[in-house]
Amino acid sequence: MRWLSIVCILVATGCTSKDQSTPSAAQAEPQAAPQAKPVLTVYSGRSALLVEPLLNKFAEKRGVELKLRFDKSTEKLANRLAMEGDKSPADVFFAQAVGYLSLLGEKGLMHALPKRLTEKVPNAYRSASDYWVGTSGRLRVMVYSPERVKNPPKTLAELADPRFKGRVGWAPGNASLHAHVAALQKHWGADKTSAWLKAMQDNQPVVYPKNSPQVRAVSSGEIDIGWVNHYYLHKIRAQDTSLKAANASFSAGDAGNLVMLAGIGIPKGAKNRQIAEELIDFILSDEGQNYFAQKAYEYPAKSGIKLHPEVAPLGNNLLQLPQAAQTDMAGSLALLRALRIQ
Amino acid sequence: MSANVLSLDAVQLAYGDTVVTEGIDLTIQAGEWVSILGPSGCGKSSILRSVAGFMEPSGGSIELFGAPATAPPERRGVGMVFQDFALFNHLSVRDNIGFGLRGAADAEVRVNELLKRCELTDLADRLPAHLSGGQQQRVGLARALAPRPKLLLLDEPFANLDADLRGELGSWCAQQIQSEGAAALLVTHDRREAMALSDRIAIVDGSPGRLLQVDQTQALYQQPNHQAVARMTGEALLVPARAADQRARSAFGDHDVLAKVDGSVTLVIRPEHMDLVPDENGPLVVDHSYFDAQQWMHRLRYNGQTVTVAQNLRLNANRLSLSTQAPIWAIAR
Amino acid sequence: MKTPSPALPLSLAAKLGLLGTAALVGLPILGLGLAWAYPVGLIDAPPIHTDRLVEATSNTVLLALLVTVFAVVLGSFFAWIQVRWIFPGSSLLTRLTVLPLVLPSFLLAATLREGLAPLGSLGELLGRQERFDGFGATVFVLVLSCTPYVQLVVSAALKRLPRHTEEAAQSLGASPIRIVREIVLPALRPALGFAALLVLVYAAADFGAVAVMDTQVLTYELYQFAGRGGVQAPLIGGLLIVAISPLVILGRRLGGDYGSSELSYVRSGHMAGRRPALWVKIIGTALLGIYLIFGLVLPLMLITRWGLLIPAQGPLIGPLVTTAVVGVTAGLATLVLGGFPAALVAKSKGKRGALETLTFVASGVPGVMIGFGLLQLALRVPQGSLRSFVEGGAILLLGLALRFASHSYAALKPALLTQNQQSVEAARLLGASRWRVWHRVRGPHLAPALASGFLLSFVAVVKELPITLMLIPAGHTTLATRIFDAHEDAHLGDLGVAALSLLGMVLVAQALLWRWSRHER
Repeated sequence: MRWLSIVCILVATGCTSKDQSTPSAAQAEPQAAPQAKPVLTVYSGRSALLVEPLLNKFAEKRGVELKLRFDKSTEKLANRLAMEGDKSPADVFFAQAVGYLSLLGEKGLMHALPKRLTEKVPNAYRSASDYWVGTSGRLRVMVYSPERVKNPPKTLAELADPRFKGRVGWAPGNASLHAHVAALQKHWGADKTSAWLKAMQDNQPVVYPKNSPQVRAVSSGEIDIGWVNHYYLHKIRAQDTSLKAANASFSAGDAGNLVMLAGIGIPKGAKNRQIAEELIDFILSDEGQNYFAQKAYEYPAKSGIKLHPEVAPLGNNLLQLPQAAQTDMAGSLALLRALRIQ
Repeated sequence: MSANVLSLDAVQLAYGDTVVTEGIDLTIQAGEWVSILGPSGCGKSSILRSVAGFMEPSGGSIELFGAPATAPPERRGVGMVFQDFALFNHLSVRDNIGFGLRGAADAEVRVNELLKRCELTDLADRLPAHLSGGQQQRVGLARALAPRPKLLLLDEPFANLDADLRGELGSWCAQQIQSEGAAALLVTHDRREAMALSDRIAIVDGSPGRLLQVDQTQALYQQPNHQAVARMTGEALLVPARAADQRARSAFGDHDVLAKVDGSVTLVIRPEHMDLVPDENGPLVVDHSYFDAQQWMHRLRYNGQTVTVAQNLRLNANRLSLSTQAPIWAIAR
Repeated sequence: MKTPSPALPLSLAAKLGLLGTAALVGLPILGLGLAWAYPVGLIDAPPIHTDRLVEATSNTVLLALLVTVFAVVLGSFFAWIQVRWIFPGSSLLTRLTVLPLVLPSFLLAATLREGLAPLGSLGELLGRQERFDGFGATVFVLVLSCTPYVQLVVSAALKRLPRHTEEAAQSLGASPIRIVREIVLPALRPALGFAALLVLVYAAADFGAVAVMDTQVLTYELYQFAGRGGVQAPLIGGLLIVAISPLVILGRRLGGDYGSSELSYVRSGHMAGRRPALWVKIIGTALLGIYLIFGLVLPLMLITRWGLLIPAQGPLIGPLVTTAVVGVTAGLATLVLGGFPAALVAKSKGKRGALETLTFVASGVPGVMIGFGLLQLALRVPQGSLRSFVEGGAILLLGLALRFASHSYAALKPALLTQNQQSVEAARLLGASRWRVWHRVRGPHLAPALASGFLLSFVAVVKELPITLMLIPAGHTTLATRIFDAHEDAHLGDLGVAALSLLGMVLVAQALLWRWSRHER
């Protein structure tokens, strides 16, 4: 049966050579074309559905070929970047929470951004160390069922009230939650934050992998209240008008009323720094900012951009905290893990 | 109260809308061995299954031991031996034989007795997979006999065995069943088997299968009432003839006729009544001649039929004619 | 005159290939070891919560045991109905009970969780107050997923059990209960044992249902920790291997050739004797009904409704093409990886050696483990070339082929074993060249087995979730990962459309498979 081994080897070698060619073949034909387009690799903790159309627009304009790696967990992508180090293929890291960009920056894994980029947005949307720039803000809110909850909690502390036992949902793997806990540690102090998280935990919250299923779960009756960002409701309702849920903010100045930043930066391994900066510039342009406001229902980082009509203006309800308060991901994760929440 | 162990009255059997046999009338007396002989597909196995209770007749009635047979199979008191032996492969020979004796006081004695009688004592602890076909069927028989059934049903029990073993095991089987005093109903398509073992044979043929004749073996051979019966009971030339006053005229000349039939008849000429004469213009064509233990066998062809005739001497001829001296059986057409 | 060629000794190439196969199987374990030895993480690894690991381990074991008990009982009962209980429409009904096989566990879980939520389409009807998630819900979903496997294995064994055996017992005075207890069950023991271990391994290795239902078992824990760096993930992976590999090896011992024997299509003929008692009929009908409603009707209804009524946002063609490409290439890779050991084992006249065990152990390793191990391995190799392998999907193909090699192995081994040397010799004597022998004699003999091995692997690959999820090249989506993501994003329209496409793809392959296996009979 000598034939067999020969066949195997043939097939094996055939496979290997094919595999090597797969990336280019799958990605685009251009490799065969005479002038190959430059390749830009983007790691994104923001969802494909949301950012892919915008990135594609840029790719088309600039004439680049995009390689996109999405992961619903910004933490996972950040860890991947840390593991890959300066050999990472990523040219751009688009993070759901800026804290992870800071962490990577502190480890020396991010390039500093040029001032001409960071200065496009107000101070509140900037990193002190220029490792990242904020691209948009998301308001932390409750999504709830007006039918089943007549008196939604007024404060974040009240969300842990025993009357909501087993009826509250959260997503402890979500980067916005990590950032919010980081901010609480700054605002409330470690002890109060820890006590509140324990009270939440004792209330047996329903764990979701992300924020959006909480909106769905309120509508389907799995839970009464979810602790989420504001825009998920609008996005899902745009698809499914039968959605039975509403957003609610906490009272003015409460620890629950925070705006979390999504941000973008350039990892150390970037091979196309120039194009990466162009992409960031595009995202911070009026066109890019309008996209986030209108398509993502978010609060644009740049001033003077119109909000989506369904999105309530921020007003004066916000808790005033320096943006650095939400970047201590290490402290936040350490607490969440010590309490066995994550 | 009837002495019949089994009596079938106009039994019809069907699978759904497909009738496989009909008009089956048959009785078996205590200790009697009856065979149902017929080609495959005539529904003869179904008759057995209906007696065992695995199948409900769609017409007619079955009586077992003088009472209508309505009990489920496990309460009919009828033993059965299967063509594929149907042994319990995970049980030893001993446990197979003892399976039907659960709760019986003398179970162990009975099993040992059967093991000894069936020469299985040395194999008692083996699993069926380690036995030869003949040994397996001996276990099958011992297992069926163990609860002392008054009627034993045998469904082509020797068909899966070698030809040599078949005859030997058959007569051994008959002995065992006889010594138990049980009646037996054997289903087979093998003429020799049926004739060697049975007191009476029921011939079934056709589709749906019908009962053509039930009689003792010699009577069936000598006086068949149907061409199919004549063919199934042994070698014969079936020759069309016209008969009147116990004389008949056929292509082979004039013959004395045993049966009292007139008009168009079929003569049943058995080999022992054939005096073969070389004749270049004779109606019989010699296909093949060969010597087989003491005799010369001649395979003859006539009018689409073939028949093998034994003669003491070789007939050196391509064609033969035939004369018959003894009176011949005839069937009305 | 040509003479038949004598049996060749194992060539050098074959030995090398053997070594290579063994090395491939070891790769995920190597990755696990590296992740343990050289942990990398953005944040210092937090201490290991022993009680969390204990809980996940005990949940895994308990889940596997419960699912096994329920699925084996239910599947055997359905098998019995299928083979021994003939009533109008029974063949259609029992064929339907095997259909949930086409639904991957994560899809079944996602639809049931949504449908049985308090305000879900069925939950509201039933007046449910509780949400449908967690441990109990996972057991329910996995029982639905595993029952068809049991039904297939047990019904095949039941069909092989001569009906006469039961009749013989009956004619010897045994009651129906005694027949089941003393004849049918012992005869089915190997099949039941094999089916039980199949389910045990399936349930312990499942990722989709536990992820959707948020049940803390080892596979889901591994997945969650996989992205966090540190030693926790490799630790969980190690526990998972310790928990599952004895089951896989035991399964090979107990199951014998059940896994490799194809399902028999022998007609059982007409069922004789009495009809089942009324209470058996009522319970049987009720169980069949409940099973079909939750395992088939409700999921299909919801998928269809979402797919047709809720507008989808994401593209469909891309994932569809990617799924087809991955399915076909991984299916072919599986043929190579499974065919090689099959050929070697067939060459040694079917002696089952370490090679066969190796193939099945590799396939018993949970997908999450394979995905994690291979990914860690690739990320830690300092050269860029292997990295581009990952990006290109070679690692994905390898992972999928490792996971499903046993499918091809099981399909190819019997065909290779029954290859008739005499017909090859006859062909040579008739003047056929080696090439012609291949073309006209050997090839046609192997073709059906190759096709069914390929189709089996294809179906398994396109339904696969964790390996695909972890190893898919950047920028690509398959229908399975799209469904999973759409569920997490609560984009039910996308979920519905992707699920309908996936089901269509699986059904076409399955239909080809069924037709093929019937032709072979």
